[in-house]
Amino acid sequence: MNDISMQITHVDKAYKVYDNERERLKSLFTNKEPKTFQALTDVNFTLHRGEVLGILGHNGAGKSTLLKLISGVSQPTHGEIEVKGRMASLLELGVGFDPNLTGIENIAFYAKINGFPKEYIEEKQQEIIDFADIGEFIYTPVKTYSSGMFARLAFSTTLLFEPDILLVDEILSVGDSRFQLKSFKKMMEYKERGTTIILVSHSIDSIYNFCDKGLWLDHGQQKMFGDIREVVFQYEKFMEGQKMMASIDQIHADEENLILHGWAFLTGFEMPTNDYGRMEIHAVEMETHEHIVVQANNVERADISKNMYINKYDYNYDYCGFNTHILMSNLPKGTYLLEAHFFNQNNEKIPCEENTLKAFAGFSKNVSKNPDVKIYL
Amino acid sequence: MKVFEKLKFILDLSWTEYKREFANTGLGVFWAFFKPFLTIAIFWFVFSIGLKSAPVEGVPFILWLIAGNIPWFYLGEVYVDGAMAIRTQQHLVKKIVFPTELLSTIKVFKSLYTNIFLIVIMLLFFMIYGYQPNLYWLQIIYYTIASVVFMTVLSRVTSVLVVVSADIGQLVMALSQFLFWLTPIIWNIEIVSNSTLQFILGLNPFAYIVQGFRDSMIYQQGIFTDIGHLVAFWAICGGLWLLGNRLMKKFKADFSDMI
Repeated sequence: MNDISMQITHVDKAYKVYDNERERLKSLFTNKEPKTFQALTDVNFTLHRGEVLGILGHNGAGKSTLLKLISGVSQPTHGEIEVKGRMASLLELGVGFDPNLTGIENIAFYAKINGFPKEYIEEKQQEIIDFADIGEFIYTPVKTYSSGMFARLAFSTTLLFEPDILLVDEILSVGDSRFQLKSFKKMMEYKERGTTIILVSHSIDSIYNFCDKGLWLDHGQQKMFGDIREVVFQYEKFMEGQKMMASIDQIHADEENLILHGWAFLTGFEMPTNDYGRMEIHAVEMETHEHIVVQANNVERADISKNMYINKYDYNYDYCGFNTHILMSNLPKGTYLLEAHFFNQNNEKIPCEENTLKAFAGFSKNVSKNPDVKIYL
Repeated sequence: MKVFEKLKFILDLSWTEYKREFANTGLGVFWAFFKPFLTIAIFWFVFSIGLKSAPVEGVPFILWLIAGNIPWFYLGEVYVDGAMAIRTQQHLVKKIVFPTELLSTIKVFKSLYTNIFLIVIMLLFFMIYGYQPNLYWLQIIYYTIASVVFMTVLSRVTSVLVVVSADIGQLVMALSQFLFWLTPIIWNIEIVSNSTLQFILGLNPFAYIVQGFRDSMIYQQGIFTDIGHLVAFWAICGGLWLLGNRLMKKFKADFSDMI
């Protein structure tokens, strides 16, 4: 296809590792290959114009290495990286700025080494200064900048010269939220015009909201490439596992009945199903610690809540409700503490962040009016 | 890049860097000349006033001194700057795609601007002392080009070595002083009575350039008078060029990983 913007085929990167300076010195005189550290193994993907790729992975997974390889700063050991168009990169907060030059001089220097024509530079310069919005600091050496100001200038310079491909490594975590928003807007604008963007960020929220495609790296291996929703979902599930958190809204109690009404937050469950598994309410005898299952419920998605939730969380959490009726006459005389336990579809117990209902209710409360059976939440 | 584009790129960036060096000082370009003048003044004071050095072969000592010292200011500065060119400019190696093989050459040209000015001052000095410009003075152009070529090929080699090993960096720095005294700058090579030793000392490319300046300014010796050293100089340049190519080929891809 013609609109392919980048093609990565079987890319490996092995860093040479020298135990000490002496080994490095020796390497000058011998052809012996030094030990290597395999940072990336067999990465493959294709991006089309206007696509935004988010790279996910824990620290040391090879995200930044991959960006360095794509940018051309570092060379792959094997494999091919084909790129169409002019690329600009913001690697680990740097764009080749010289700390001793002023902001304006650095813009000019950046333009010069990129070989832009003079009129174009003049046209863009003011736009960059306005966008970075760092005031008089533009006339002082970059080394006096705060990290936020540096990031703003670096980002503005890189972005406003309108690259065909933009690589961004963690830069947006530095600027304040207003600048982040402005930057995202600008990037969206360019994306519409066909700029291909690759984003590395530890903020899964921004990756999820902004990207079309996701690449998940784990210890240098490509675990997954595909639609961002699917990749983020699998990644979260892998990283966090399945979790649940419950909270109680309302309690109704009389001599015989106890009705609990509440919500559960679920993490790492398959989205499309309505059936999350089972919730059991255990009454634990406070002296003997004996468990009695007083109620078992199927946990169902609370559809009404879906609309209440903002989009940004729906990759990660889901929300469901429970309505539990406990008949207290089933319980022998005693003092009980109620606990909630959750099981998934495979009947595996899901770790719950706070395992007693008491914690969810936020306070300890005797809810039973039956003098023979005392129940605490 | 084509050769012409490369040259334009180098000239452009080296001029920017030249301006930048003094941009943050109040007196600006004054500092580029102050240090050479100070050095010459000290040498002149020590040797002429203190040690009462006699005129060398009928030439006032101060003229004899600057004819040798002016080229060394250039060579000595570029020797250090060129070797450190890649290592000290991480922002151009690690953050963006930059033709790193040109970094050392940019330093070679950056220092050339001051050097040309100093040469002009040297010529004025000679004229103030009553020396008439003559055709031999034109040879200064040749020796300046020779020093640019030599420093280009030398710093290509040293800049790579310094990236690969910090120990080489230390060695390069240590040799800087050594080279100053090994090269007949403030001593006259003619005082070496053993002619074989004199020839060997003259093989040092730094000595070739310094002697060349004196030959042109003072002794009125043509470039081709000493064919042996001429051939040796360019052979060394050729050797360094090949070595530089090999080292670049072997290590260039790893620069960003190594610093």
